[in-house]
Amino acid sequence: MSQSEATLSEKPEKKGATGLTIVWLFFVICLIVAASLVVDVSAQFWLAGSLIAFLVLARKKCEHGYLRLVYLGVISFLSIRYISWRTFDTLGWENPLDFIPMILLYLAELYAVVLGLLGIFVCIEPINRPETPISSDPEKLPTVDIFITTYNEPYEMIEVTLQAAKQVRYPQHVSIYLLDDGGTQDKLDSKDPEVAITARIRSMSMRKLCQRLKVNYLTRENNNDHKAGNINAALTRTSGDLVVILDSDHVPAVDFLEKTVGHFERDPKLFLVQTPHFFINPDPIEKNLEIFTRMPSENEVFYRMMQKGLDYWNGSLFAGSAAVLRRSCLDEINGFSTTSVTEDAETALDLHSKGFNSLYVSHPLISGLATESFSAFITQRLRWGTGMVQIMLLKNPLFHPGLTLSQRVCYLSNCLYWFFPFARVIFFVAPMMYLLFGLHIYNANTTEILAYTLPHYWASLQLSSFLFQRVRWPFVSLLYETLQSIFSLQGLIKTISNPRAPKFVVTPKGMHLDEDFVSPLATPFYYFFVLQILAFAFGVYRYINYPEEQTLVLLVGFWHVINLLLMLASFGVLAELRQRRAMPRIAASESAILKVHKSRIPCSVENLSTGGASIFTNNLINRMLIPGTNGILEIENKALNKISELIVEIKSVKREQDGRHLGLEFVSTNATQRAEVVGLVHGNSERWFRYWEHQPQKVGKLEGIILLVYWGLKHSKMHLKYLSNKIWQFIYKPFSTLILKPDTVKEFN
Amino acid sequence: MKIINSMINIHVQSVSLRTVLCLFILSLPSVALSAEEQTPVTPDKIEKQGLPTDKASFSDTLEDKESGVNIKSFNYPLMDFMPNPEPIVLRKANDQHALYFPVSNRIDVTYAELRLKFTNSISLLQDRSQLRIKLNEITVAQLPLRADQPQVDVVIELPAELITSGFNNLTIWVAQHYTLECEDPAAPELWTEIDTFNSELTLTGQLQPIDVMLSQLDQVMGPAIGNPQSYRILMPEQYNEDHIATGALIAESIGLRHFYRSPLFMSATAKKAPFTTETDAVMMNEFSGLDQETLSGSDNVLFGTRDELKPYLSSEILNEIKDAYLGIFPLPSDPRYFVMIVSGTTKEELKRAATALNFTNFPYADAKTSLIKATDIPANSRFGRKRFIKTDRLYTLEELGVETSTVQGAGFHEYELVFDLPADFYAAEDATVNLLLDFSYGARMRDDSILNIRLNDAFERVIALTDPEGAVFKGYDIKIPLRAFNPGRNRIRFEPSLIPSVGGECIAINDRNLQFTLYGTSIIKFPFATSYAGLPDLNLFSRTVFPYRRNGQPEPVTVSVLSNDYDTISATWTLMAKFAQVADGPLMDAEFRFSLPEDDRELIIVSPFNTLDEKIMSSAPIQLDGSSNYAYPVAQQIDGEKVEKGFFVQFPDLFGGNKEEPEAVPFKAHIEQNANPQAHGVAMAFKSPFGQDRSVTLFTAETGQKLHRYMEAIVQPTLWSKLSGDVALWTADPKSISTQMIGKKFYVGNAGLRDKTRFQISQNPWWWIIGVFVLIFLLAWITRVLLHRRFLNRHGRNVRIED
Repeated sequence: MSQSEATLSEKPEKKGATGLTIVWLFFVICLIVAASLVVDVSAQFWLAGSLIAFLVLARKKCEHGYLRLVYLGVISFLSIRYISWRTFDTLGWENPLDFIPMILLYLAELYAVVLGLLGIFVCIEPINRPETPISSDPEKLPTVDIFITTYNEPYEMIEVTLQAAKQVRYPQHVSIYLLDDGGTQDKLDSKDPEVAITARIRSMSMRKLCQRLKVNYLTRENNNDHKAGNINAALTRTSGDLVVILDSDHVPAVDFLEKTVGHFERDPKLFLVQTPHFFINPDPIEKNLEIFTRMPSENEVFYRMMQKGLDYWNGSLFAGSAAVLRRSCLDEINGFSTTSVTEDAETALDLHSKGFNSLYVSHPLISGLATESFSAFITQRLRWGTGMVQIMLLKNPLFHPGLTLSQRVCYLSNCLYWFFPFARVIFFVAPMMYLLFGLHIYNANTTEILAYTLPHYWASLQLSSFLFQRVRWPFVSLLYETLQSIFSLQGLIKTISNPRAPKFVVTPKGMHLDEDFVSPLATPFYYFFVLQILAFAFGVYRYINYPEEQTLVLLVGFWHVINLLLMLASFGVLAELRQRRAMPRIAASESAILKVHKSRIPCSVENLSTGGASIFTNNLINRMLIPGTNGILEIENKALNKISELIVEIKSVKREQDGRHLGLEFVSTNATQRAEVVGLVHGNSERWFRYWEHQPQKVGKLEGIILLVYWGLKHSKMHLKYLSNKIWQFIYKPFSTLILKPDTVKEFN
Repeated sequence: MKIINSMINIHVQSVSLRTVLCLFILSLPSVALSAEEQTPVTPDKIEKQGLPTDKASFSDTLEDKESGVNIKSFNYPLMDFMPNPEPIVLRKANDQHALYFPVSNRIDVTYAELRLKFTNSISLLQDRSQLRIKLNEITVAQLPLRADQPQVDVVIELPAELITSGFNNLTIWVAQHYTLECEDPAAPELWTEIDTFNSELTLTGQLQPIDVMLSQLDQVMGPAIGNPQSYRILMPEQYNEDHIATGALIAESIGLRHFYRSPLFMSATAKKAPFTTETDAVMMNEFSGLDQETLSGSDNVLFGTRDELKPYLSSEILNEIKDAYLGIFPLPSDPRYFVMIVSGTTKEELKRAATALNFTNFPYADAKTSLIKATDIPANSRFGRKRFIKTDRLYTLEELGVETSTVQGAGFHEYELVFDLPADFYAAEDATVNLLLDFSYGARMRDDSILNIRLNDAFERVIALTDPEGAVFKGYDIKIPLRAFNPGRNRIRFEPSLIPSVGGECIAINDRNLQFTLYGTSIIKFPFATSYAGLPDLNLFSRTVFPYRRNGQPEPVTVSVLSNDYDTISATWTLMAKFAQVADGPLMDAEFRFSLPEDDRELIIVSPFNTLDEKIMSSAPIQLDGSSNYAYPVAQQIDGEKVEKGFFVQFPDLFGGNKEEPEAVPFKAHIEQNANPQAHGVAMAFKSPFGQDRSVTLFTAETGQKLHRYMEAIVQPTLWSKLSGDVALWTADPKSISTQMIGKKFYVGNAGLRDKTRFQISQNPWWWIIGVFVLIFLLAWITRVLLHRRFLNRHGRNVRIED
């Protein structure tokens, strides 16, 4: 078919599509009108009851296809109806004191509803990409540069990543570059001698490492534009057709390029293939609440649902690492964008607006490290939030030229999400405004709250559960947002007042937490908690003394109690548990043979890390299986397609009835051995994929609340202990100096 | 004093033989009345009986012009002097109730008596419990309240000399005790209940000749006892529709002056005086050409243009009619009554003169005649005393007639706020009326001192006056849902109940601290409401004359009087007077026709059965020709809300299921009969066949005479207040009215589409819910198609949607 024929044949379809779009718009308007009708509360009860009954009864039938859209339509209708009612019927105020908190609460709710609707749009058709094999003719394949960016990460971490990068399979030429921003000339020449010496030592070790591993070391004069500047500097000195961006803690699997490059061959306008950020260690919240592997990770919502949804709209977001980009496209915009501190999202926005495409491969191809401490977590999230708000303010996707409408909506959703600290803080404070001061910031009676508010909030929870049922437990987002909000709010306000001011802050990675401690960021939570307890007491007082407000107090009290539980659970998170192992162990279930002297002991590998492994053997007889014994672990290395024989030392033995658990340490004697260990531990993406697809237990709304209570009570105990110690010391110290003898005081201290 | 049904000993203050005589005379008309019920009433008979109004009556007990004996007796139930027809309940150890009755200066009261029928508690202690009657603050009678004789029917003579023209105060005071020792003054067994329906006030006296000026119109024309309550309106011999309209304006003006009491009208054409010698003798008076023979016994209004009145009036008066003309003169043949002349040189002037009469508060000239040069009436003019308020506004209580005032002393007190809401207001369910009350109260009151707030007698809110130091409040906010208010007249009562902190027989009680002030600066704030109401609704009509006045604006109205006989015309004017009272103004631009209208107008029809044509009756909820099957009210029916069913049980109703179920409330008894409801007056309201969303209110009866008679009955408060539904049938008996809702409702008002939809959806939520589901399913389907197309365009068939 010639081009003209194709155009002709497409015309009627396009016409039909336009007509249908107009009909669609008409129905949308009808729906909004129907949702905005104000009726008697009894009619609203019937409506909300019917819709909720539908949502409950039809849930299972509506998970796929057409009915899925109906389901989302019902939830959208309830949300639009609620916000319409809030807008037109509940904003009356009598007291100026009520006005500001009332409007703030309304805006927070409006924000939440808009975000929910945008979320529905984004996730309306999440797609799974099929594997696209690379060309069998190596000559036709594009050349690839792998950029591993580093600033101050530990040597061991970088070594592992470089080793793994070297093992990436690709028939065409691959160049690996370590882009070291920790060894720039400015750093080496720093006026601060300590900084200069540290930089020089680090730079030297990095150069030696690269030399040893035969990869390229690149650095630059200064640290301008941080990570984006680092990559841009490298782009000018390299020439590969495609560029792989990896953070230094993102260890690629051997099939990273095999699973991504094929897409570039198919679509010449493709600028980005993004893969998931798959973390093998718990983030501080998972770690401190001891829910790692039992609960889906927080980022799974983004990588297992949102990115797939964004992909449908050609809006896959560049996440800064674990992605492949086309150099020619980057050249069109003169390399990475540098306006914001989230260079990744901004670069994607600029490339999308140039008409290039992006896609998302929903298969973990790297194994990375999540932040270890709460403060590192907050630092990272602050940067993300700041960057997205900068994009919203400086390159507003609604008006940025070149984007399609759907891309605008996707970017709007991505950016707007990061305004959540405003809403979250308001939702926290709003019930206290009523309980403490009696401010009427929600101008509705109890019946109306039951008829409009409860169905809406129930539907919002249902939406989250419906869209993200496999990747998020109820209330977990609230917990994450709560923890971030208190700190993010200030940064957010600063960014809004001066969008160009924020500076790039590197997220600390590879930290060791040697002992349990309370996060230094906990103090504001104490103030909030005291206020919440006060508000709770006032609520009880109000309940007893204002009989006419009892139902309202109960409703607001319920809301407040949820906030209180979130705060308690936050205390659990802030009680940081130690983390001694820098290289986290990864669960495995592979057969192996442990050779100790002349014995070949069959065993199964329970977990692995680049430092060692844990195995289980049912051999209860062998007397050599004791700590200090050396041996060889013979195991199939699927990534390298060989049987690896790794020298190990038995470090621990734990006897069970049916066998023994042995803790092994890899005793790496040479580079080949270390490379094999890296290949064994990080090279096999199928292991990540299996792990990813593993379905943690689903949790309902009620269970979510119960878990909040459980986490709050269990993990905030440490806080109490910590606080009571502090208080005791505060009281005891002056007392002891007066009463006790000096030597007793000394002894006590 | 005469004891009718009691064996109690009465401390008689004065006994007069005149009483016995008068009571004997009073019994005569009741005999006449019972006889009259068996035969059709003629206008003449009604005239002679003084047109019994409801239970109130007045009669010429002894009247002989020639002999000069001129005694009239007026008899009113006590409830006529109360805003609401209800018994008076006097509670606690000490209580009183004051009634005010107006007396005209046209009567010289020679005898007055009060028949008091009451029931007291059987716990009362005879030695200490008593009832006292005070007339104009002077005690005129005392009765013991006895436990062994709880039901009392007593006639008390009131000193006639204490009764003055104007308002007189009749106070019923009780002291109630159940023990000689210390007692609880608020004990629930301390009560006495006055039957205000059967308790009556009777005044007997002589009507005085009057020589009244126009400036005194309010004194001689109004509800005061002694003023005749019936009027004869005299038209020229050749009368047409314009005369009916002018007569209606006059009737309306009289109605306005009578406030709450409905005057009755007789229409007739003025007759020329026969030229006899006797007539020649009176040729010199103002009405030299008018036959005055039949004009005695009631006040008269003669209207017509100067040319039309030429045969009846003296040349002197005719010469005075140079413009719109009003004149008032004693009836030469019986100067106890007057003749008012409403005239002009042209029809327009005549209308202007009739219109001017409706300005009831206007200071007319202190002369017998006056020329009205101009009347400038704004389009939406209000004539009277009602406080019409608009929604979406705020008013101070002062603006609504409640001035700052203090009540003091123990017990119950009351402030009353009266205003009129639009008849067709419709607001969202959550719309509230805010009362921002400014008030203060004294210190050291008992902590059960309260301020009750009642809306239309229903308890709404209470404010505890509990601060021992006393308190001053500014803007105390009370919200009352707008839907709790009635269309039309509303009453909010603020009832401070001030209780001393100490009590008991042996303790001195200070009540100077028991003070409460309600400030006129308090605010009542009304929310936005639109205009939307369901019709037909005779009840709404009876309270607000809706839809003939909508949103305060007069609507184009036609009054069709399909029979031009005197009785039908009289009935029309009687109705129009009532109409003016309810609407607080006349139907200024109403069109009166002897036929049905052809254009888009609201319609009132006053006509006998046989004049009603098929087109009208085909729209009526019931047929009157006797050949059809119509719902006959066998008993008082309550049109209840449909019984709410369960969530799922209700569903099949939508699709015509659940047919086997009986209706929630048995409603209509269908009777096939071949005769008209002759014994009834019939009022019907229904959608007009002549216009879009227009209404017809039809008043009819078998004949013009009956129509007149039943119209006189229906305009009386007891029956008028019972009008409801779309069909009402009644007789002259004040308790006999049956109402039903038979026809379909239709909705009128200038509400926007949003409000109309809101109203309909609130009534029928299921259709909305189904619509929403259909909409969502359709939208999802279209979305699916669009998404699928886009998906194929961008991704091809290799990519799959997430499962």
